Amino acid sequence: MAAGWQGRGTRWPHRRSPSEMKSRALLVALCLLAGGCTDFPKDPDGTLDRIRSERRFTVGIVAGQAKMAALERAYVARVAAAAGARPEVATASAEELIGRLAAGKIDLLVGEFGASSPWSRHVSFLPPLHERTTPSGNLLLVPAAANGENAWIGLLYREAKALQAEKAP
Amino acid sequence: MMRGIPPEIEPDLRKAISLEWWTLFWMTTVVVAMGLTAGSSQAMRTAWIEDVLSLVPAIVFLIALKIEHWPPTRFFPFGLKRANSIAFIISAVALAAVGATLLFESAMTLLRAEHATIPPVTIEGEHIWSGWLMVAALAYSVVPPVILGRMKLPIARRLQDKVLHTDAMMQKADWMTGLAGIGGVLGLGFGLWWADAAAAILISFSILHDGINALRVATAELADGAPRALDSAEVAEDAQALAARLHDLYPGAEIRMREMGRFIHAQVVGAVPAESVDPESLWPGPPERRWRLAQLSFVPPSSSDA
Repeated sequence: MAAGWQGRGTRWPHRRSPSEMKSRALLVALCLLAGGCTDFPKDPDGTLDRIRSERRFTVGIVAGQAKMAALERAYVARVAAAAGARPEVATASAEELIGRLAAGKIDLLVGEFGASSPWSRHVSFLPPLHERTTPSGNLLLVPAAANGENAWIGLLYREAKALQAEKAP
Repeated sequence: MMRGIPPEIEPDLRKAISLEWWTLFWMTTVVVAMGLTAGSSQAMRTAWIEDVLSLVPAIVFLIALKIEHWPPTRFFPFGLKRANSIAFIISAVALAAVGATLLFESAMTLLRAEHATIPPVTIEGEHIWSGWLMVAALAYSVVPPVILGRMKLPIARRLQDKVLHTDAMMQKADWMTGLAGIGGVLGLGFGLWWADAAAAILISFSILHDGINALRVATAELADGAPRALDSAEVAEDAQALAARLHDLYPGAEIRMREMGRFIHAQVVGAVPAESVDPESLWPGPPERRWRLAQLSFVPPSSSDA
């Protein structure tokens, strides 16, 4: 980066006036507050940074939902494109995947859960991709992420909303 | 010698009533704003519960003031002067509950290492990190308590009203919690999952200290303890001065004092005044606070004493 600057003949570093320094400090503070110029919010465990640097992420799909496969694939593909990473998909039971997600062993889970699932305290559910009615109540096809990974959750949220909008008539 | 509202404190009482109504109005807007932005954040829900509890002192102050001057009845032959004392203990419990809730919730968050999720929200098609909405609501929640609390403190001192003083302490708890909440949400934004709980624990100690202190004083007041200072469990300076004055006037007599709300009731046991006594003339403190001595009674020596 520095070589590029020098290559274009820019003097670096150059002395700034106090007023210029103040303006820059204010700009940085405003950027931090607005969250527009930096990666904000950040993940406490650095999930999104790791996914971007390793260019891969792990996905757990709840077993026994053949009809939903296309929607799940479409969602995972969107997330992969947004994160610039390759998904590694595994299938297992909901209980097992929830445990692995909460422990940070996988990055994303997609599966069907009831609207008032008791798992919602253990992991963070995102906007539903699909909803279907069953005799025992409505089931939502939802992505889920580990609690508190707010940058990664933000990306998953945006892609879920985008897929919802795509599906909408 | 019992009296109603002393004319010297009427203007301050009117100001206090007005401030309490403004408190109810502004804190209700804070409760609504916090409720709308709380989402699934435990820290925000705790802050919301505290804001709801912070309405308690203002409500009980207004109710107590309404009924404390009701005339005595067959069931309440001494009137309802103690309504203020009951309001005080309710306010003290609310303040202590705010501190205890904050401490418990924050400690549990740290012990369980809970990582709070603050997801985005969609407003008018734009995805915004809901932490910004929380920060805005918390910043708003800080403003009314700072202003109202600072306005109440001098009035509470002039009125010697412990409910109003506890309410001012509650407002202090509100704005401190609000600032801690802002720090906590921004801390979460920077990936520091423990920031919110750690800030809240530090602040909860101060709130709990104020709450327990108020509880001690309120309990003493209901148990006919000696009049306490406004902001500590020590005997009030004006009460100590009055006791000294009565000891001088009636040597050998036992001086008993208790507090009913803002007022001091004194009893001289083992002495009878030679002539009628004007209690106001006995007040040793500043004249503008003579109303504090609401009742002075004498218990003559019993025949066994003689």
